[in-house]
Amino acid sequence: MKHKGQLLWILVPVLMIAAVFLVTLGSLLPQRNQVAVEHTVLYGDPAAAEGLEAVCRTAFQDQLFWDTTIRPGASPDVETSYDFSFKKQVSYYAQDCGFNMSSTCSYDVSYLESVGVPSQPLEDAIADLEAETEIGETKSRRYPLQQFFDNYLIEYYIYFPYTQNRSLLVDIDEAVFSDFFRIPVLPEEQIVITYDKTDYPSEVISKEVEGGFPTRTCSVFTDDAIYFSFDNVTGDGRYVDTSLIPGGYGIYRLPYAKETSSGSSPYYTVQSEELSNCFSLDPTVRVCDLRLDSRQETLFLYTQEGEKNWLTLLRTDTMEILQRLCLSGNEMDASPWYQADDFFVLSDGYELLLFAKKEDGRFEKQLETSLSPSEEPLFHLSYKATMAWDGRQLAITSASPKEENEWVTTAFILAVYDESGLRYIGRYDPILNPTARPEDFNYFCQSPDNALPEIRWEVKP
Amino acid sequence: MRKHMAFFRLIAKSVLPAFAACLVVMTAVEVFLFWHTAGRMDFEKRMLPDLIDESNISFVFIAAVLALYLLLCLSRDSFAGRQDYTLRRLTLRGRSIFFWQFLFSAFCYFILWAVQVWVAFFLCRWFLHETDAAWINGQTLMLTFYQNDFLHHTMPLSDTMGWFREIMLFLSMAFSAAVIRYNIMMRRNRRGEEETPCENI
Repeated sequence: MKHKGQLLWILVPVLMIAAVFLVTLGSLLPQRNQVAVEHTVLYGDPAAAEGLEAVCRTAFQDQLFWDTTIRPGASPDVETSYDFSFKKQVSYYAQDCGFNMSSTCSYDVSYLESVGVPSQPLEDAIADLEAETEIGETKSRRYPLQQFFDNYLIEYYIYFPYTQNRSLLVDIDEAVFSDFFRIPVLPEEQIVITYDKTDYPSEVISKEVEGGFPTRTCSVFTDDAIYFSFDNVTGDGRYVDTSLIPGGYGIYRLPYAKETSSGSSPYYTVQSEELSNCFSLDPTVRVCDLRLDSRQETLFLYTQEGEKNWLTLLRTDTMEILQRLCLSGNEMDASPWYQADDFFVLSDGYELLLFAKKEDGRFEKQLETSLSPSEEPLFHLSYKATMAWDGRQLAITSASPKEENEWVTTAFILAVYDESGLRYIGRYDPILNPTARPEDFNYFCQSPDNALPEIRWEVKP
Repeated sequence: MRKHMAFFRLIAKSVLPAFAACLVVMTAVEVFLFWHTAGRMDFEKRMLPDLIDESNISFVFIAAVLALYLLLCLSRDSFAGRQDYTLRRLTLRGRSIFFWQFLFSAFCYFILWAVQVWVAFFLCRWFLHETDAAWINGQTLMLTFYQNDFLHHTMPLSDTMGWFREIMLFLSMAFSAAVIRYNIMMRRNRRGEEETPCENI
């Protein structure tokens, strides 16, 4: 008996310590998946969103993760799964991968020298202008761009997909590309040089090109090649001469090899010498966008031809035309607002057009409606959006504009459309940041990569 | 077993009063600092993790950890005289003496840790109770234990590595205190043997 009494000396403290930790843990741990979702109806009937499922990912300090599944409807149903990761899962802002052709708008002597173009004409022009400018005045003068170089000076960059959400700039032989894309400078293209002698020391304050080319490139990656094209119009709306490019204007194919054997990060080799035009286009057609389906079988080529926007569906392997479809007039954006494998949506900010794939594999217009039921837009859906189409209804999520006093938000806007127009729009906020003031930045929970929720319609039995 | 427990009680008696005082002082100072800082901070801008940092209660805890260490190592006076004599009469092996000293030190550290967890937990709950409900939600308390480094170290929650780290830290402090104390005791015993013949050890 006395023995037992003595053992209590050890047992009691052990039990007390255990009790303290268990009670505290028991009070804190159940909070981990208690993500409350604040729900505001902005327009219409939330019952229209019945059958939809949105999964919203939120993270804190790259270690705590919440996947909140929201089933909107008259009474939203919320379910959260929580995960803790020992290793920090660092998230980066998703970087764009792609082939990019660009040119500078401001040429200076050292730049011309670095790309191997004689810089004397530019130096002479600047010297002349300096001589003409009186002390105390600023003088600008236009020079034809052709005076300084014959072909557009284009820089080429390829960003390959690297690790998750990161891209890798790969070295390429620029000379091969410069030889391939010989695009003569238009005689109308001008550069404005401004010389300032109002201050000491006097200096050239700007050398700006009006217009400029190229302004836009679009590209897609398959497993073994990059398909790309560019907008063949200068910044002030003139068509450039693409006749010197082997094969002319169109879609270009650049094969590459990817090696993943050495370590986990992939290594890319671009086969520049095999660069070719794989689909020729009339030089008066403007390429606006290029997309690829997830199986890499179909290329979606969005073009502007005259007053109309067109879509050409191409088989990736043979470049055979699968379908040509007139989408809309020029008032619509020629690039899709959202592209999925079996549907895509165009918009001009007021109207939306949805084209979906039918059973025979051809796309057809299936929904045309205005974005907002009133003249004045009720809300703003941003260009970055995720969408889901069930054959009858279109659901759109977009990042919610921040409300007053709100600095970081995981909130999103959900809109549902059908052929009668907007049925419902609501704001959903998985509140993890009740105190979202700028000075609390370290304490914010955010969506990794600022990703939008994934949405899908539940398959109806 | 009886003599082991007797020895355990003997060490406990020599350290517990000072240790209890240490816990009371730590709790009192932390509550005062937290309350004082909360009152001083701009109500609109005070955030719980900031408040914990600015109230410096983590330094009070560190001071308590060090005070306990010194207490465990150096509370030799209590072993002198009558208790020292009792100890020698207990006929314990050196290994057992060390083991009980280590176990007792570990107990003290875990009790200190547990008291700190509760003080921090109740201070946070008190603060959230006083805060405008618009600024908090069902996860604020849990997130605070991740947002604030000090709170996260006292209560690592899902962070298993954190638990391992804290437990190892306190066990090694207890071990080191036991080693020092054992050495001091052995040295004194050797001196004692020369002066007065002793039956055991």
